[in-house]
Amino acid sequence: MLVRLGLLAALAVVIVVVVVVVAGGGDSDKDGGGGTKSPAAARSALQGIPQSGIALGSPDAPVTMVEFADLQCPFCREYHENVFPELLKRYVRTGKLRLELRLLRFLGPDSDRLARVAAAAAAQNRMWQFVGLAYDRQGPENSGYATDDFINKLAADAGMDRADAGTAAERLIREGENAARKARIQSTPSFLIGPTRGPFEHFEPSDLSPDAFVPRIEEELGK
Amino acid sequence: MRRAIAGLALIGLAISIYLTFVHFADVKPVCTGISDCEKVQTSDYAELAGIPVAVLGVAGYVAILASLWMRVEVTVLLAYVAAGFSAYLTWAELFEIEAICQWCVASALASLAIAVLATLLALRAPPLHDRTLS
Repeated sequence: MLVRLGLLAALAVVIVVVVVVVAGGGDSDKDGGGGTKSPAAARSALQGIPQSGIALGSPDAPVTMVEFADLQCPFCREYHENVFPELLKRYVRTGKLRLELRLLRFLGPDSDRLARVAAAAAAQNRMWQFVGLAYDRQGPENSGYATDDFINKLAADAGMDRADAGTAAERLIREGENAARKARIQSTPSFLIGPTRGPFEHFEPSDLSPDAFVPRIEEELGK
Repeated sequence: MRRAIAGLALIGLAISIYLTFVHFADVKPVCTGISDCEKVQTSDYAELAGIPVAVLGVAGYVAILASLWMRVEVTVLLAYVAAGFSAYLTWAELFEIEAICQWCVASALASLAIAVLATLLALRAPPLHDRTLS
């Protein structure tokens, strides 16, 4: 019986490992970028949510929140890790909130390289997957971590067909920079919020926790 | 022994049903001060291939309960898989999510205890017998 139990234990280990690896819950398919999210987990988190260009969520959502961010910015990463999942669950998935992400590139060359490919991802409606993985694997600011290999792996894991950023991507980034200038954005992450059809107002959360965002979103929903 | 396994599986089932309810009803789980159930429940590890792990827990505990009417080896295999999967999730809580969910820990302990009891049951059981829940 002991031998049989040993075989059953070995079989159980194989089953668990196979399920975790195949379903993408483990870390076996993570890249070397130090991230904690598997590509499958990043994709499944957004599964079933409409995505169009830089927008995430139903186009009929009554409220839209615009975020200005730099993919190298640690506070933007903090927002994405601590607040975004809760907003996604409570408001975006339920069709109440639509999110727009305007990527800026003021921190340095790595920001520029990442923003360009993120803009290419927007053209393929994969920007939010790309951004989630980019934050997850974020390296030290201006350390040159956003190499071609790093970006190509991000793009592939985000489900993009190709990572080349053409003129359309450049145009999208410039649009975002113009919007930031117009809204007098000074830092990242910065937020605008309002009815989806506009107009938008500045929203300055007291901290980067869901509790700092929820009352403002509720206020907009109640209007 | 089978009654003890059934009791533990029912506890695990109740926890999994509660966490499944929390997942789909979009409410915050009841949590003690030292744990952060919400962080765990909303993490990337809360789903596997798009299926909430709480739902997998419900399926697992139901399967363990059903297996008590089958050969003891089936119970042992299911219990080992459940314990292995719980160990993986506990590792994720401690080292990846860096937050603990008391419900998940309770479920992990239940699955570990079931694995131990199922092993003892298998060691005690006569080699070839029809075994039913006693």
